[in-house]
Amino acid sequence: MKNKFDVVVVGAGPAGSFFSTHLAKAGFDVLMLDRRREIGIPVRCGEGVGIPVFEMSGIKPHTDWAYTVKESHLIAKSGARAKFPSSKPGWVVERRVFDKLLALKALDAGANLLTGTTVTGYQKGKVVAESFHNKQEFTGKLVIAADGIESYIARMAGLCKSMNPHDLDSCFQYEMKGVQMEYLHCLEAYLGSMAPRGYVWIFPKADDRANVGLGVAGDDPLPAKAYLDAFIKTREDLKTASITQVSSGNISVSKPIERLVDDQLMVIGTAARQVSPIHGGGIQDAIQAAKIAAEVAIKALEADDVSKKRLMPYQTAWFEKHGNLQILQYKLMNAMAHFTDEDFDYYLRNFKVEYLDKMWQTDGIPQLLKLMMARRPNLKSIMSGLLS
Amino acid sequence: MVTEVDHELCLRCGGCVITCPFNCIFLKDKITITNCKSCGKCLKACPVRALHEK
Repeated sequence: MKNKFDVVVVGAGPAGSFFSTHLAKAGFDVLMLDRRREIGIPVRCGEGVGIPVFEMSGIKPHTDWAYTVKESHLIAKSGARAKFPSSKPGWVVERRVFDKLLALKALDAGANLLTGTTVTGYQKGKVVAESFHNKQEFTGKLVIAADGIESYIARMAGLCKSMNPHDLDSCFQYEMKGVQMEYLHCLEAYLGSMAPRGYVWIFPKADDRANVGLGVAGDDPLPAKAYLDAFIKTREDLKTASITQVSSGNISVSKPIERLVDDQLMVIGTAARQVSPIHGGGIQDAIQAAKIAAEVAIKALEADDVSKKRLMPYQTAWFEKHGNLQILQYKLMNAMAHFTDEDFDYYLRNFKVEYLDKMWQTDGIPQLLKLMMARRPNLKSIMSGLLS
Repeated sequence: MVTEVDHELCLRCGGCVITCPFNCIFLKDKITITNCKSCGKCLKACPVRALHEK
């Protein structure tokens, strides 16, 4: 295999594959490298995917690997349940299929892929990759760091440091078959002390099969697995179900990294911590960022100038459209971390869909924080600190 | 003291990798730890507590 490319993309997850598709379509020579021996495996995800992702990526959901969801429920420990229909249906997918289809799209567009190939070294415009004890060097006018939560490239490039466990959600999940569903085609999220700061999700993959998982604050004294096993013990509908898959992962529920570009380098997706701290879903964020990055990268490569300055419009546009909102969502998440089971009970009994809408508006989040302050005077000092 | 991985428990999720302030932890097909400074940051981030100090 040759070792010189226009673009070397590290990571063939949604961000890397989507970016590669666009660059290959524009006529550039793209190499994708992925550590995993099979794309999409191991799964580190609850596998819920909204319709915008399918619309943007052009992938068509198929019932063999995607189950449609039509409503979502938020449930407090007391049993209080807020129900709201999805404005558009979403899907719970098999990520191993979904991610592979995304990667295949990039290959169809003309990109190259090496799997089972781990990047172990990075210098400007150059990566060292290892596969089956074989070391190879690849150069690219542009390197794309789409290497997920570990963010190896961004750390090597000095764009970010390690993460505080507090800014991670530590997650554990069973895929279960034989689940007695009370509501079909429904995403359920349980909020409260069963998953401190995070939530338990039951995301259906068939009428009797679901991802049952949870995330808890990364600095919680107990491991995520202990919380999930305890939750399942309380549930008659899950007790007798069989476990068909075990997965774990860490979700970034942090602010995004501040610098997304450097000379000949762009960081996209979870590697840049472009994940909503509210629900911990990162696929849509990854694809949105990859789209902006691809547009900027194509222009830069066409002008034969891949300097930091030339790539900066990606950083500016991303923060304007998504990043500034994510920073506010991070504040909101930290405020909600103080909620007790009684608070969740109160809010879900008095639930309004507009609360959720506000979570996705930069001017809505301060309004929400004020509402919370009114309800919980004892949180006033924390909340007013967050508002400043 | 250094941190060791119980590969039987480890699900290779990478949480420890990103919490290590010294870039000592690497995930290839399994987790490897070199030059551990025993800061303990990675221990709690592990959803299954596969890391322990020895």
